[in-house]
Amino acid sequence: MSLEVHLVTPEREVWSGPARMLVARGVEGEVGILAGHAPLLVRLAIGPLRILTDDEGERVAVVDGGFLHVTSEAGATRADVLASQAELLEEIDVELARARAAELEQQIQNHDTHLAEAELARVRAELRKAQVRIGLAG
Amino acid sequence: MGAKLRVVRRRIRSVQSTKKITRAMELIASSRIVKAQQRVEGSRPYAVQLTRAMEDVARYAGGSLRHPLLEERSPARRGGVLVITSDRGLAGSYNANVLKIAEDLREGLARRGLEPVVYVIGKKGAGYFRFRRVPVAAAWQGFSEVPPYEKAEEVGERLIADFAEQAIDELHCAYTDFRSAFTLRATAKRFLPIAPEEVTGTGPRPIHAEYLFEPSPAEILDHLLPRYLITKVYAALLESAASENAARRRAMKAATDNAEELIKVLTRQANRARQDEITTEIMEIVGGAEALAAASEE
Repeated sequence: MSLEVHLVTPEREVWSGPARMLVARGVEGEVGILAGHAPLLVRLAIGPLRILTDDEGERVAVVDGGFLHVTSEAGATRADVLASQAELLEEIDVELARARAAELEQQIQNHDTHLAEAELARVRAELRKAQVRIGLAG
Repeated sequence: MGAKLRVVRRRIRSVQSTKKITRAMELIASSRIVKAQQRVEGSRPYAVQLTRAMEDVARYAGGSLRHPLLEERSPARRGGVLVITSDRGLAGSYNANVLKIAEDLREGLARRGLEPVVYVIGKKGAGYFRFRRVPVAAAWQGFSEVPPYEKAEEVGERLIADFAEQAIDELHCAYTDFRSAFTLRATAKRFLPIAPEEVTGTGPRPIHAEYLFEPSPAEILDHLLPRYLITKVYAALLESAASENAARRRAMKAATDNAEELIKVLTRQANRARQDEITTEIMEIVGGAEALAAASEE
């Protein structure tokens, strides 16, 4: 029984390798994946992703939503994290995230009328992305 | 120096500097092809895995897969045409080829009784339609050489919104497929509605009875299908970017070769002009000497 994790975005493969466990935040709560897990398809929230690697280490990444897809074949479990954007902890630019968060908060504060409802939701999601990054790396 | 020689030398210098420029552009395009190809490669794992996830949902749902993005509309009234061109020229027939495909698409739609709705990416395409006074529903530019994923998202979301609002009932895309650095093919593909065969796949992978979905399969599909379309737009953008650079490299190589050829011809002309001048000078000297000799004999 083994577990292999692939963290991919449309632009690149962020991380892949064998792991003991994967913890992700789904829209309906946290999910933990061990080798031999039943097939699963979960929609992910904006949040951290923890990969406990085979060598007792831990890799932390941030994912901006997406999907977690778990499949098993002949005892080999494969977990694919498909995110539109993802960064490993060490790749996060905290300063950039802070600046971005401040700018977005500003936008929400003086949004009054010129921001449409959908636009406001998008700005909130962007802000959440920045906050998760600050929370993890800051 | 004679006038003729001076004129030819000036032309040689001008062609030489043109050659330097085209040669530089050729080298830049070459290095960009490699990068563009790497980006195409880098986008593949996500696309493959997304399709796999979608196939699982489709198979779990059995034949009862329903979603507005999968629904054929009849009668269809308006057909969207997304045309991917470049921002800059100097790429040979790259833009002409893809615009030809776009025109074929528009004609095909019109023949089926659909009103074509044009969406353009790239300055060259926007200029083409503006010149012909063809109304354009939306235009994007400024990223044809290195398309970022966010732009694909922006374009994809607009298209999905228009499809949902029935501003278009179908969507076709005209872009350039990068087969290899030597084979570029302007291609037309239908993007919407998504054909159910596309998502159900053909592999005999059996579906696990205890498959878990969170939230429900229908809700997941709701988020998967738009992602799938955006991924297709992104793939078309990346293929087009690689093609653009390949076309530019080829055009610039041809220009460099032509310049070299021209320099050869002009050098020959210059040499002949120089030789003529020398011959004339010798004739004058000999003529002068003879005249002097004749004068002193008298």
